[in-house]
Amino acid sequence: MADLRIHPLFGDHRALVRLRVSMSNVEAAARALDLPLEPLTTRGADPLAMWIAPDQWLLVSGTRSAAQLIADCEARLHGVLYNATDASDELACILIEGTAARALLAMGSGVDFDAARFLPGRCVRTRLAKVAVVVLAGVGERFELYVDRSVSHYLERWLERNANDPILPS
Amino acid sequence: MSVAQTNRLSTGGQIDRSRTVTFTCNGRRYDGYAGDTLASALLANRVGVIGRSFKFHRPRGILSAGIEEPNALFRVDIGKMSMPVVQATMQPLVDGLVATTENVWPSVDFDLGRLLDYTHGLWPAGFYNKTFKWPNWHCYEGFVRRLAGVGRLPEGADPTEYFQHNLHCDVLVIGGGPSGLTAALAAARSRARVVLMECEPRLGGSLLFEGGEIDGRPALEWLEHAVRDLECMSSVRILKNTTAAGYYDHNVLLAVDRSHANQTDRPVERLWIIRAKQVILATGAIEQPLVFTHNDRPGILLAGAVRRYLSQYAVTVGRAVVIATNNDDAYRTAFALHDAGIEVPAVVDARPEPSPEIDAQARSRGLEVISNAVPVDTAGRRGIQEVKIAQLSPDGRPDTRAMRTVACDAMAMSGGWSPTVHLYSQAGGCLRYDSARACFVPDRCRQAVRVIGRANGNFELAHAMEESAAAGRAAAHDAGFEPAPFVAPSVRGAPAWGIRPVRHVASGPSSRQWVDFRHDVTVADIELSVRENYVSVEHLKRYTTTGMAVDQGKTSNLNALMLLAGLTDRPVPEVGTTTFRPMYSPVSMGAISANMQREFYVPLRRLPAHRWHQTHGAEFDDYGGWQRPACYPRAGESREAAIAREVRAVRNAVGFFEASPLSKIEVRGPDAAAFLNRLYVNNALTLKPGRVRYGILLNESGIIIDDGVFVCMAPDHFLIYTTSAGAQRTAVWIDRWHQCEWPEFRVVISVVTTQWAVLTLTGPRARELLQSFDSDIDFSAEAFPHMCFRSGHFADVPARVQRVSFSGELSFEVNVPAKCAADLADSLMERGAACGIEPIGIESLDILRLEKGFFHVGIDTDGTTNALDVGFGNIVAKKQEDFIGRRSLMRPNDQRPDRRQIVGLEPVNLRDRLIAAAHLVRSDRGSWRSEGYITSACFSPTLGRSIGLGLLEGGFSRKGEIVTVFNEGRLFKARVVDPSFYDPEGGRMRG
Amino acid sequence: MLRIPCPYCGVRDEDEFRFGGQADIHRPDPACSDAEWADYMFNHDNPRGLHHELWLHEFGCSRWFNVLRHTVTHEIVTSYRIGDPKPDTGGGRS
Repeated sequence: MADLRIHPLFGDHRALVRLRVSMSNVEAAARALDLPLEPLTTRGADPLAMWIAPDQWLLVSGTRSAAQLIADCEARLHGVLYNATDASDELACILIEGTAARALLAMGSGVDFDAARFLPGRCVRTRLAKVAVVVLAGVGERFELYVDRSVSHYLERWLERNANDPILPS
Repeated sequence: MSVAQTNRLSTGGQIDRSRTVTFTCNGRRYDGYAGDTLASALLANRVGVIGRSFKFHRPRGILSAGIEEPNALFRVDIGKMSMPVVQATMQPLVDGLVATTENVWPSVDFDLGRLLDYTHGLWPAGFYNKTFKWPNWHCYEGFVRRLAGVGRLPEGADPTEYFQHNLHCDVLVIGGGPSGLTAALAAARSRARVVLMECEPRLGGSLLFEGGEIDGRPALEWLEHAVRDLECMSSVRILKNTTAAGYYDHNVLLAVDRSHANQTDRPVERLWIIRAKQVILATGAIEQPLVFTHNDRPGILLAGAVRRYLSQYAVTVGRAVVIATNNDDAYRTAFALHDAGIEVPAVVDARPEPSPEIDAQARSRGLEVISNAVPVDTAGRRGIQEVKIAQLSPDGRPDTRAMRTVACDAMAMSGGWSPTVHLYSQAGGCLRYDSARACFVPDRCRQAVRVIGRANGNFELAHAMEESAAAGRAAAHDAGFEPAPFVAPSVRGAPAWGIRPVRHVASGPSSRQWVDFRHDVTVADIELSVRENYVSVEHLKRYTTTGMAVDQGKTSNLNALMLLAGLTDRPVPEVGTTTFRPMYSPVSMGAISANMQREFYVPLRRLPAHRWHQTHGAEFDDYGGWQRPACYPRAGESREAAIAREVRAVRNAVGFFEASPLSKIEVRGPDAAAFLNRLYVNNALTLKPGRVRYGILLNESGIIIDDGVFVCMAPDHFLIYTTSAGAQRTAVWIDRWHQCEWPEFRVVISVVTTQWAVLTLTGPRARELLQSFDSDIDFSAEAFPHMCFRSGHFADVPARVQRVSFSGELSFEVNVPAKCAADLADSLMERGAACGIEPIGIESLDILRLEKGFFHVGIDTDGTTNALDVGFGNIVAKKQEDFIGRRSLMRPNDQRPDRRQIVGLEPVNLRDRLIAAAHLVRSDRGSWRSEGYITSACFSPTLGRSIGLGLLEGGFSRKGEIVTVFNEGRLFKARVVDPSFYDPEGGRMRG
Repeated sequence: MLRIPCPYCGVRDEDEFRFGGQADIHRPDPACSDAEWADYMFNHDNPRGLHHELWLHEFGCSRWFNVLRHTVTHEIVTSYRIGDPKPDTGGGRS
């Protein structure tokens, strides 16, 4: 059996907010909210800001509500053209961990998940198992997969099915 | 009862003699050893005839020892796993394996299909195009196909599991022979990520059977050390049993991994998709047969294969083996056989003499070398028993007056080696003909690829090792690594390499001289092809089918094109090669579709309240990628009855429908209204906060691509709804206009589709139901008119509600966060019970909108329907500002009055039923032509009659006209009517 | 399968992208003639050689960008953001 644990976080009560900013206001927004500007990186702890695109971030908080996060944006983004929308219901989170986790991710996506490259704290939005997924690398071979709730059942089944390849590290 | 392994030598080989493996071939049980292939075990058991040729059903034996094998193809059953067309040379022997020859009747030993061979003159190349013409090919097809099949597909479910992996590396080395090992070692020293791939179960390639010394150690010992070194390095990944089958653009390669394919309990096949910064091909070379009369007799093998069977598997192919060659390499087979105590009656060499050192070794062993001679015929009943040898006269023709016959029970032939350049060619590499070595070698390629060793025409191991070490270091460097010092392994006793490119000697009937063993293509077929002017190598291939069998001509293409060159008096390079395309060797369809089978083929999306629908008896269907309730049939109720009941519930009480897949896009910013005004045909500038407007979206050709309502939430904040099916496409399309064409609009676009569930309450009692909930939204008719939007809280959750209607009844679309959908559905059903609420599916909604005469984009419109064709002429004319598609609508053709326009239809005779896709036809000078078609139709439960929408030429001006419907061969009359069949004044919807 | 360098996210597999046709096709003033409009709509380049193309990194950053691709060899010379200066193709289109 592969060294792999796959947990769908159904009871995930964390707040998720999508922030999209006009391309001309990116630097101003990053300064005001301490957002990462380097592609495929994250910044902060709570809220954690994941770089999704040069004009988009995903904010995750375990202590504040989406409404509070959006209010924060409102308060700090003066003169910035942006839209912050609640994504707590849009995205489901699936956790995978274990020494086989990277190999499992590589079964679905062409992104290089090599341990020397995809370090803890990095994130990437990619096409995994045919659906758009944001993968966040945590410490200890632990990865959070953010996926549209409408296909989370499918992705979960896909991960469980492909975890059965006897070649995965056990 | 097992048969003794009579052709197994008592010592030697790299088989595990302590582990006997029992298998069955064509009904007989045999023993072999662990480490055998199916082919080596069959040879050990002296099984001569293993199959029949494709066309003439001639008996055939094993030709080779590797992936080039054209003859030894079996259906292989291991446990529940069953595979047709398996090469015995590539099939590891496992206990309980059952091999069956296909395409024979009644048996491989006595095949009636052989009658075709006795009448072979009737079946030349392309015979089926010439012979089976009267009355037509189909009269013969069944019979020919039965004779010509290569195998039967296994029946039942495939027990093999398939997986797909993506792999990244700095240096990919394909081929685990001495060159590949050396290159991998050299590259890995620099810490580059190296993948070493080998199609056989063991690394080593020719080291496993060629002997010799490397770095002062026996080859096998050096191999062991090299493998251990590689295995110790964490940056190296070794993939055995893995065949690189495709080499694509940007250094992307595809490989099939059969490491777990032969497990009886759980067979697994794996597909690797590899992205390599640098590729090194160490794919070796394939020995080519000689072409002479009856060169296809069982017992005639390639010389290298004979050597390999002898030293790797301790199997001799016979007791008296004649060697026929045009090069030095085959002498090593003679020496190996002789040294193992096998009689070598003669070495027939087409050259005047071998290299001096080879000659000396032959003399010291006392071998009889017949120089300047070629085999011209063989004889034997079930395998070779004698070979006829003729001297070559000075003009290169055999002198048949002085023929000599030598008795033997096997023959090892060699026409020289041809580099395995398939992958290199697939990569876009060009080849060059090397006349000294009589083969095509890699020349240049735009991709980051190097070719080393025999694959590069470098047949001398010492040179190959140096070349490989350099290539490994260079590849690592080019992948961005500092190359580490690495000394190429030194090789002792490198054999000489000389060849005379004589492969075919014209003597005897050319129709009995085989070029392609698998497809039964003879020299006569190639002659015929040339006579009929198929002189391009690509035409030759297709006309004669040479090289088109499962082995893809690995042992026939080169001989075919050399023959073609000779017959057309052209130099070989001018003839060229056919294009090498993926796959290099067969890949199962299961592996190709590995992670995408069954439920994983398409990720079907689920509604937020999916479970709720399940528990309420929904019958699901796939609608635009979503699994959605079609209807909710009760026990014993038919689908049609359920749909009709749901329609009545909406018309008389209230229906509950989940519309969550509706696309929701927020557009925010000071220019939001102006941006929307550019997108929509309809005016967005005049929309006030809290109001909703219906709009259609056109592409730049003026064609309708989507529709829906848009909401003004605030002057700088709009919310767009588009159809569920077009959700993703339209969101991308809108974003594209902003990113690429009009970045100056100060807006931010956010897609919020799946954040919000949409629960629609539709029917005369919808308001009453909503008013029974706690909400800060006033649902009264005065406070919340039709086409308005309100946001607030509903049943303690945030809600956005718009009053719009697709059914023609009073309707509210309640948007709530998706996680709240199921609970709210429960509450709605509970409180709605008093109002007669029923959940409704898509099918009833489709009838409701059709009764109301609302069109559905993509159903009632097609790729030719513009805004004017659906009655938007006034809106287009009134709008002053530019919008997407407007300019195209100004073209004369877009304004023609006889365009297909949307109309309502009903049958004149009430017994007739309209049906979608039926054409509307008219008689035009005696023949019928279509003037449109029915786009949607149903039997309206509300109106009690058949109704439909259609696109009809000049439809707007033809209200009241009778048109003719053509459906499945029957004509009937229908009347053109206004599309609003139900409540045309809209009082119910606005009430 | 192509490997396409997104100017924002780096090199990714082709299946993360959506093709958008020839780059730098801009909408003329709608007051233009039918012929000019037809040019904009239909008369695009289809070179045998280097081609400026528009691609969307749909499964990544959702940004449109330009790719300079050789239509015969599929070689991608470079990719660049919309609005960035057009890279030099070494003169001519082949």
